[in-house]
Amino acid sequence: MLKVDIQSELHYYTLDISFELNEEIGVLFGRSGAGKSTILHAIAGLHTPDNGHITIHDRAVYSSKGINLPPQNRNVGYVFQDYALFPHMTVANNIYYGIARKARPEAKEHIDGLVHALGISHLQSKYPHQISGGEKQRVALIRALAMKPDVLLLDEPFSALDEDTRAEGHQELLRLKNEWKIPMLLVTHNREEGEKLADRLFNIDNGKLQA
Amino acid sequence: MNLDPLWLSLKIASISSVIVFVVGTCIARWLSRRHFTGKNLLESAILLPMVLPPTVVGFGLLYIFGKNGFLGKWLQTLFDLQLVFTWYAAVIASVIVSFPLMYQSAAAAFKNYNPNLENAAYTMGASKIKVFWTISLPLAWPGLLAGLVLSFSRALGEFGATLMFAGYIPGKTDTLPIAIYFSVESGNSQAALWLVLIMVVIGFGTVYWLNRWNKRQSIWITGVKDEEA
Repeated sequence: MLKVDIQSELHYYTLDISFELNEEIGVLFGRSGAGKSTILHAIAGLHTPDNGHITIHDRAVYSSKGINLPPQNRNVGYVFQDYALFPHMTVANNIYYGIARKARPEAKEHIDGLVHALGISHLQSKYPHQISGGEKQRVALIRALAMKPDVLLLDEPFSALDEDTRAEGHQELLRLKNEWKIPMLLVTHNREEGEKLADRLFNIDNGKLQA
Repeated sequence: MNLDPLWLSLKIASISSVIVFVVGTCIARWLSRRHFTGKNLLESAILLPMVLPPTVVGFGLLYIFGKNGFLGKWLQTLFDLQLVFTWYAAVIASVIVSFPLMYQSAAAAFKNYNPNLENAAYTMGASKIKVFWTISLPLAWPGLLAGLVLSFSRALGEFGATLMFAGYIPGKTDTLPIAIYFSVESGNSQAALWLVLIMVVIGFGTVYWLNRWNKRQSIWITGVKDEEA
């Protein structure tokens, strides 16, 4: 369960938003610059709101009453818009980056399962610039899930992909939702995509939830 | 031929570059993602020696570290240390004049990659130190290395501030550029010619390498050759 209730004074508008999300896909839909990415940043600890609280799995990660966990301690999986794969590391090293050396043998089974399910086993020794956009998106997804996050944040993960690859990505995400049973929050400016994936659709405009 | 000026210059430039590299990298990284009032002022102060005549820098250093300067007095009474007319003074002068070059390269290098790469690492539980060593430093490395080479060359060629602050003491503070000046001054053009040739070779090597390196680094980060980009 993810609970968000935050207010933040930004340059062009005031972010003022409140919602709850169960083990389902919530879609933040709205125009570019409406504040969608800032919400993800706030949940991950990359942006500190002025006011409010954020709870992940009954654990307060932010509260204006004096709680503000750093991103390192929030256990949030984040797929960035441009995937943010480390260009100087192989796919395998990208995926294992967040896992301590000691914990790797233990994590291997779970990660191998993901790598196999998403069909990128043959890419593990490749560098990000050697693989396609769809493959990058999968690597970023696996990397975010590798540390078994309590919540998964996806910032326009499909916007850079061609139509067929995007449709595949949608199917994969829906399958992962059933397997993982964690709140997944996806940002998109594509209405069709939002309606297709969302259990809950949040329409954001000017930093506020629209009815 | 007396090669002592060459060794002295290499020693001074090396020590100065190491200092400038470490301090410049840290300050540039620290400032790169911060916005505060006065940042512009601070950056201008850092870059100032680049646009000032070296003699002005030398005058400033004498003013601060000289017998009656506030740091000079302090060093004298506390450590019985007199910096003026020593090779330490040449190192300080080199650090001040080459620092802006390192800072500029490093600041650009840290702005050159996507900040989400660091954010991604943070969300994966990496500490700030781990992110610096495994993400920031490797990604900024080409620019940092370019800054190191530029500041080394600048330190090697430093003349004005060094002459004012460290003076010309043969065998002690006669760096390459200063030795060239005083060789010509004393009518010994032959000795100066050799030193000049050495400087030209080192300088050409530096620029040639930098040029090649700049073309290679873009391939390394993006996997795309310049011509394709």
